[in-house]
Amino acid sequence: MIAHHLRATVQARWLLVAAVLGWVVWICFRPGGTEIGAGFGLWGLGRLWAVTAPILVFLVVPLLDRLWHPARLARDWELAQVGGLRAGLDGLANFLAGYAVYAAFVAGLSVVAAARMNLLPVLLVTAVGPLTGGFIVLALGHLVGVWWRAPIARYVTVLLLAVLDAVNQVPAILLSLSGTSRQARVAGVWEPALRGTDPSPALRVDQGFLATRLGLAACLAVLLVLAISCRSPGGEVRRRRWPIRRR
Amino acid sequence: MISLTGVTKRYRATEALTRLDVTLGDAGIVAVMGRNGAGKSTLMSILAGLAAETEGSISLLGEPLRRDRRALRAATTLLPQELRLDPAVPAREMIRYLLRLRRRPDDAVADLIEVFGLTGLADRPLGTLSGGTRQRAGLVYAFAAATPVLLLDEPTQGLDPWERLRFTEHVARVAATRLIVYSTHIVSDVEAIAGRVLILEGGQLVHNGTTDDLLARAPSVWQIDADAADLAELGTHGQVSGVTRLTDGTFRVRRLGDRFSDTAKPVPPTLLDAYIAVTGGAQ
Repeated sequence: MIAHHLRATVQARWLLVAAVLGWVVWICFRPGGTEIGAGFGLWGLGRLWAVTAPILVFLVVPLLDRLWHPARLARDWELAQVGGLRAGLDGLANFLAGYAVYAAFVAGLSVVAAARMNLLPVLLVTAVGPLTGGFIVLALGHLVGVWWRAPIARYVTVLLLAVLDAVNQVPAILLSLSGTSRQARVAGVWEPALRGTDPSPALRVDQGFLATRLGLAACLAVLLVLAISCRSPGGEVRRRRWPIRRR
Repeated sequence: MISLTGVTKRYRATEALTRLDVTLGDAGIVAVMGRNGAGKSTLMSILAGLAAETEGSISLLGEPLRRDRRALRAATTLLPQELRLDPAVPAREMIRYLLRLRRRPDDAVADLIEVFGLTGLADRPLGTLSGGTRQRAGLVYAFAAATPVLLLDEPTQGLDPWERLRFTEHVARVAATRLIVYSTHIVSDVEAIAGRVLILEGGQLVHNGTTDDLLARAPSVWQIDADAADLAELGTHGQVSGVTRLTDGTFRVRRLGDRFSDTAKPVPPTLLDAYIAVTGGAQ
């Protein structure tokens, strides 16, 4: 099912490759990762957004629009005469397909960052946080979009994701995308150039952090299935939202 | 198999179906005919469990259905009139996806792709295929689903004569063990394969019987050769059921009802004459 939905991301996959290449250029241009920290400055921030904005506009937004197209899914479900839990599970597969592209982007970025800095533990900072946090934010946005039938919710999600990823200083454990990097920064070892101090001891996954996010991610996945089940035909044909052809 | 009792369907102020009483058996071919807007697609949607009746009741295998139509949806496969499929996905992949969604086996897909002449086309994106080819992909899905009831809404639309012939042969074969309900405007298709005909007119069932029953309802049919100027005149005073252009530029006209001219010759009625007569009341 996920493979089927991923077919809808042909365009996004090319954009993904371009985006990763963009990141590679940026990271290699100035070593130090993607975090905003001391010495990063306005120039660094500008460069970050110069890369992030096109990625968001040309990668994530088309991806969400093309892949998570509710009308297309509803048409397929109508043709297959399914609703309820089956539609919910397919909706989850469809969401996971979109998330897989995002995850591939994050993973690619992390590998480049780790290789550039010759520091494997950096993967924890650049991958674990964005992967779990990204799942939570994307799933929340998807949930809002499904439940309120407001496509704008998906775009707001993209913006929220971008802001949280750039700021990366939200103290609430629920919203912080990169709790691991926050630990590193608090420990005073996470600087743009990563020189002078061995950051390895600080770069570890906090068990509570990970458990909270994984639990939340699982809850959101279940909620997503339930929301799509309720919003799809379900077992009750009296719902007027079922895409009945009026003739 | 499926029984509809007093089924009425309203869309706001429009009554799409009015007090429909129909019982459909376990196998065979039932053709649903009627003019555009007669209620054919609404009937198909109700039979597929995709739309609910406003009044009346439906039972499946003798069991009355309440609001939950999952059993009806599991027992039927509807191929809609307007097949809107993702243009980026290849036909074979789309068919398999739909079958997986329905938890139906896909063993028959390869054979059906061959039956409907899609070999070599099935792996191309649907957006690059012609309308008729997409329709055939839809037919492959519908037959591969292998549900006890197949609901085909104008399935031969967009098919060329060869494809229609292939479709007709396959439908006739499958109908030995399954119930096939299909709506159509093409009387020759009905004549060839349908054992029973339902005709809807303005949401009401105006015929429910065999093709012979329908033929028996045809009035007298008269044939006359006329020129273009007389054609309009012929149509105003009676129902014209057919016009054929002759080699000399005149037209051979079939008209229903009383003899209207001494030169008009009586001819045996066809199913089309009967259909025109049965559905002509609202004209």
